[in-house]
Amino acid sequence: MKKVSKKAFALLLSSTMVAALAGCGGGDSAPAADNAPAADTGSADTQEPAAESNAEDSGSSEAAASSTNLSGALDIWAWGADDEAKSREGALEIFVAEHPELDVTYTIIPTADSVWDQKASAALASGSAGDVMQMSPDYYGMNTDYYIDLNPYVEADGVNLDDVLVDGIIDGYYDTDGKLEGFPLLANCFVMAYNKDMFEAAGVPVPEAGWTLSDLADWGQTFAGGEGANQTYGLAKHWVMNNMMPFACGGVPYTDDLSTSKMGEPEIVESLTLYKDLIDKGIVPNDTALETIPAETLFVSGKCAMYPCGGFETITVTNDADENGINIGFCPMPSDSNGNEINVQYATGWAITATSKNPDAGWQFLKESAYANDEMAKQTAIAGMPSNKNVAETYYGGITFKGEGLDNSYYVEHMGNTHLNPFGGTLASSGNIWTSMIEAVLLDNQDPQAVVDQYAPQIEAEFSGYSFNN
Amino acid sequence: MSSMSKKKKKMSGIQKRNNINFYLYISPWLLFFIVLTVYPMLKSLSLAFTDSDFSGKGNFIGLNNFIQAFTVDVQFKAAFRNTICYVLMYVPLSLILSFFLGWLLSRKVKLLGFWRTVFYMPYITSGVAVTILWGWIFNGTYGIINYVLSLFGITGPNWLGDKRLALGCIVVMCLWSLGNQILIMLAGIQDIPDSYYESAQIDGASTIRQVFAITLPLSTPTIFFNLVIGVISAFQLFNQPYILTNGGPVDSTLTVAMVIFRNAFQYGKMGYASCIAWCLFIVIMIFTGIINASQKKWVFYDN
Repeated sequence: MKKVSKKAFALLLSSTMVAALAGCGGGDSAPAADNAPAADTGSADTQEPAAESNAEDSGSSEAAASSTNLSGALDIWAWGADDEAKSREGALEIFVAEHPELDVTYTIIPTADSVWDQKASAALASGSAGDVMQMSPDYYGMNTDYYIDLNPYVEADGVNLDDVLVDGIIDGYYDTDGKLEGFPLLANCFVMAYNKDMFEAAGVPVPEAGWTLSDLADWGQTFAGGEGANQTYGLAKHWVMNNMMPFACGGVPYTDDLSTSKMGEPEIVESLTLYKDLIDKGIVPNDTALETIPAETLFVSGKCAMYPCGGFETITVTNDADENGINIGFCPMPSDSNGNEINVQYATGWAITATSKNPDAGWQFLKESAYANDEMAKQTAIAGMPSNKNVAETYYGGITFKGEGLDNSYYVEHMGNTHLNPFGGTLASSGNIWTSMIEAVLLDNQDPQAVVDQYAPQIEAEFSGYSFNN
Repeated sequence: MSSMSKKKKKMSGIQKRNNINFYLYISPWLLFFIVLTVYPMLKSLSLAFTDSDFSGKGNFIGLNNFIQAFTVDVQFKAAFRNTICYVLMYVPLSLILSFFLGWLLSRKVKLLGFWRTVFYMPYITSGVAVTILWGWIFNGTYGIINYVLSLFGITGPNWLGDKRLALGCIVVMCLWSLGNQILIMLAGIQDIPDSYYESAQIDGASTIRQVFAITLPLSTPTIFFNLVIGVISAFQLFNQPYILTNGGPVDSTLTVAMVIFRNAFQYGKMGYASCIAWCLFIVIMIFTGIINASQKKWVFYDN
């Protein structure tokens, strides 16, 4: 009896194991893109197969499905946590409610600790990703074969995107070969928040449009003083600073077509020299442990005169400042020596996977998320500036915050002046080298020219190795 | 001939059942081992010779990944150097500390249970939380270390911002979580028969003499175990530098495991990441092999 029980137990364990493993391997049976007609899921029975190649072959008219003849399942994968997750869920629920003809399922995955990266990468690679995936031109998803080209859908719809999307918000979604990898949802750029009381006490005029970081190296010293925990600064070292600095002295990190690195140019040496100057003079804090002392804390506690405030954090910054009795205002971001604004855009959008069995429904979702559904755009406005031009200008731009004259209008007006986050996504390896260059100059006191001479060839090598340059 | 087959038949009855039972009982583990360890290892070995992206698709490129790693990739070289430095600092210190603390905890002192809990606690505390806590402790402006130093008129350094100190800080941080090694050491020390100490006491040996003449030699099997496990885990250092410094400043805390992670999951270079993973595996095997070969000279088994 005892032996039988042991055997039975072992058999049970083995069977469970086999069943579990079989379940894990279920992805193998995921349908491939090239032979997956939309009708398989009951989707759009009047439509042609709608994967990437099919959309191109069948002509744009087929791609332009209206919401009236959609059906079937639509699986959507989004990222987000806290307010961003709420915003995403709110918009998705509106879409679900307005499209009872579709069987919409969605998953919201946090980005912290690379959870999204790992899940999305694995799913995309194995062909088990959703029909629609969250993506970002500056974070994840460009220059891949995972997504279909959206140009045929845009052309079929015949909508002039300049009329319906915020200026400059879609530019980053085009690959160098013209493929439209994704479609925008929202974007965030920066405004310079300043401490009114510190400026008044120092007798320094508030910076006006066209001010430069070189100017700051002069008048910013007025704010630098104190010791230890009471030390004060001119400008908080927000994490975006490292991504702004390649542009600080009129340089660019690479050519527009991404073919060539420009990190060996004299403007980059000047930028590094200026960055070090700002730190050495105590204008920008030399705090390497950014993860333990958030730059925002320094600003809202009255220890920094200025703070580059991203659209994604305006509510937090203004509320915290208000709680601490800090009067803040907004002024323009700095410009480079050519008068061009130094501002960085972080964008979030959607893409339709090449394995999607219901791309037409996916396009309907992308379109409504981007510009064709004002209620969804209002939900999106919780997390940043929606790409929907109408909602961005009339609703998002008018959102006010605690403090005198603080609203979102700057973000809407200046989005068109921004540079896309230079080292996100595909270019992350170059970004890591740029971080090493900054650390070599700021922390290890190496000569900026020597640093550029040492590291720029490494970035050039990275660029020549990127798949889109081969 | 017939007696042989008879013998064979006789043996097979018991042995066959035993064999079946053996494989049946280990089958859950074996299945997982094959699917989740053997297969991924073989797959990554095949990927190491390709330029595969995350999809696993790529072209065979021979030894190009290995050549790139050892001749072109500056970050790989820096990471390897840092990892070796970390292993050489962390492993000896962890062995000394765990032996010393294990010995202390084996003594008959007041509140023994409390002290054992205290020393084991860091091991079961969330690694991320502990790392962030240490980030605050080492903070150049607001950290408690520099605050204490300032009471004596000393201006403390920017611990994590100085490339000469950052790796040392991570070693200190990791030494704080030695609970498991201490526990293993404690078990080893407690396993030494009391009669040895009683004999030594009768002969008039001091406590220190007893430690070096009895406790230390008879703890060498446990030290050997901790050494092997410590070297393997030290070579795979990832969490602390990833959370605290992200490999900086100037790549001074970049480790091989971080380079593997970056290439695999940030850059999508699965082939190259697999190549580095195999390089790391081979180095760990070499170190483990050397340690294993050397045990005959310094590990003393009681029996």
